[in-house]
Amino acid sequence: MRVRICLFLIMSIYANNVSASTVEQLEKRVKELEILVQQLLQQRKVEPEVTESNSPSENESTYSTDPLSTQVQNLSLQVEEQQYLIDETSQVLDSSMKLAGYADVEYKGSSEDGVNEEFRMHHLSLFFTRQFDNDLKFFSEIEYEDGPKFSGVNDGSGDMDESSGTIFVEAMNFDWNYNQYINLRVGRFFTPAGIWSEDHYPPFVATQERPMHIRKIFPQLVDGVSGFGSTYLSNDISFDYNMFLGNGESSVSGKNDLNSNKATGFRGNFYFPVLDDLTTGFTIYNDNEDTANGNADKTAIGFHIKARYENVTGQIEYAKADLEFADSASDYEREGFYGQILYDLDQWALGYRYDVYDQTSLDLDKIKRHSLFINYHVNESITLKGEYHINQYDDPLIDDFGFYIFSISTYLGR
Amino acid sequence: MNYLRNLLLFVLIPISTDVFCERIYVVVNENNVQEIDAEVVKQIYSDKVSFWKNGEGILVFELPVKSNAREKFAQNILNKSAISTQRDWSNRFVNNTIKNEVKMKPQRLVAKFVSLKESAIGYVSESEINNLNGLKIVMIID
Repeated sequence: MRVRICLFLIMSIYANNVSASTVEQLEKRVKELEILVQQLLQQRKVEPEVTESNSPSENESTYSTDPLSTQVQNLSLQVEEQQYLIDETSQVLDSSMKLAGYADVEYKGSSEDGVNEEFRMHHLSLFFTRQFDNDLKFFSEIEYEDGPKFSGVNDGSGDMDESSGTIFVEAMNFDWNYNQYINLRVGRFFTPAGIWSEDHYPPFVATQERPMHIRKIFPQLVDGVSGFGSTYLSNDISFDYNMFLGNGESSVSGKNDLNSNKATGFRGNFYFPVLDDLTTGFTIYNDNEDTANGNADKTAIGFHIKARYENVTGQIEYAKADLEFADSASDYEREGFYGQILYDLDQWALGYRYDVYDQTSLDLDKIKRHSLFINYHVNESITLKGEYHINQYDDPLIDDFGFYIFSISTYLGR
Repeated sequence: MNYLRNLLLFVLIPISTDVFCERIYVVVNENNVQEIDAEVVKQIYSDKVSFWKNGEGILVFELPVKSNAREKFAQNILNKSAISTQRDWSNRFVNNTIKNEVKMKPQRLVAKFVSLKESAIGYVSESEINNLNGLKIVMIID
């Protein structure tokens, strides 16, 4: 029976060769091959002596020696090849909407008085993206934070019976990618500032707790437009640039600009071919009327550097904002810095971060934080983390304390 | 004392997972006339570069994460593990900084697809190249 099936398959494959010239013929061929694969898989189920093996697309080093399994694997590859030929022949891009996401759950505790140990359903974020053609792309992220629940009274009053957690559209933007030098993004996006502002997703950063100055000197988001691209400064050194303009930071920036001034910024990134990776750059930002900070004229600058040599990765960010008010006696500065080192050892990573943040130069509110952390990457998608942080306060009236977080985070895309 | 020494060695010396003995061929389409060296390959596979110098977008093929050939390629070209490189691609996707969305295919298809598309680049192990029709080898990883 097996021999007959194999003969039938081989004859089928070679009788209708890859040289089919139209999309219709190719699509017909794919359907035939898919049916054959299904038949073989069913045949396999009724033959218990056939051993299971990993799919070739999962693990190429474990091909089964069983002839029927090999035939199924070969046919699956043929299906994929034919599908690719269809795409190439018809010049049609896969423009269907794609779904991805991430999630993380934490258990945290603190030595601070009155703080309980607790579980936190921190994030469930869903990404909806669509590539319309080679030039136009849509990207969005909807975040559900702390297991949100919103429930109405159902008496027609519109009152809420219960509300907790956050549902937040963190990103929603359209990209027009013209070439490597000229690209345009319009909508809501994370502020292109330093490293952590964009590069912050729990499955891919070493700690659940972000450095203290992140989102406090440069805003978390921009509702506006950005132009970005990259160019070569020499054969090996490249420069990425990103300039942006938006409504400015406020709780309603997705709908309104609360003043006539627009916030503007620029980030430049240099890539050098030294060590295994070396990136360094700067960010400048200005909002003449920053609603989120008492309508101050805010100007911020930042510097960042990230370097990797073999298993060791270092990362530093510094940022400082000058906030000027109509009454100059109220002017103050806000400043933050962190330096982090991470040592990767196979699936493990160990690290330390030193973090300083001064909310205002007017008060004794500077905080120093030492963080120790360990990560275990179960696979390319799942990470277990343990982290311990100690906060030290300049203000003698505030006691230093430590806190820890254990977490599991996973990336839900392919 | 020996215990401490061994513990230190375990912590300080990276564990090499490069046990795959086959050669890896980095291949492009035979009509591709770009100058491609190890640094260019590294920049393409770390998503620093997404266009060939003639302005055409680069079509990048990757192998499945568990592929031994990918582990060897990642260790030799990017000096990190295959899992790390896949995490990098995923990270760039979610933070929306990705320049070039890589196509992940089994290596038996990579050679075929690269031979069909002038802007493509991929890599395959020695035993998976049945013929070099339509391909140009730009780098060999021993």
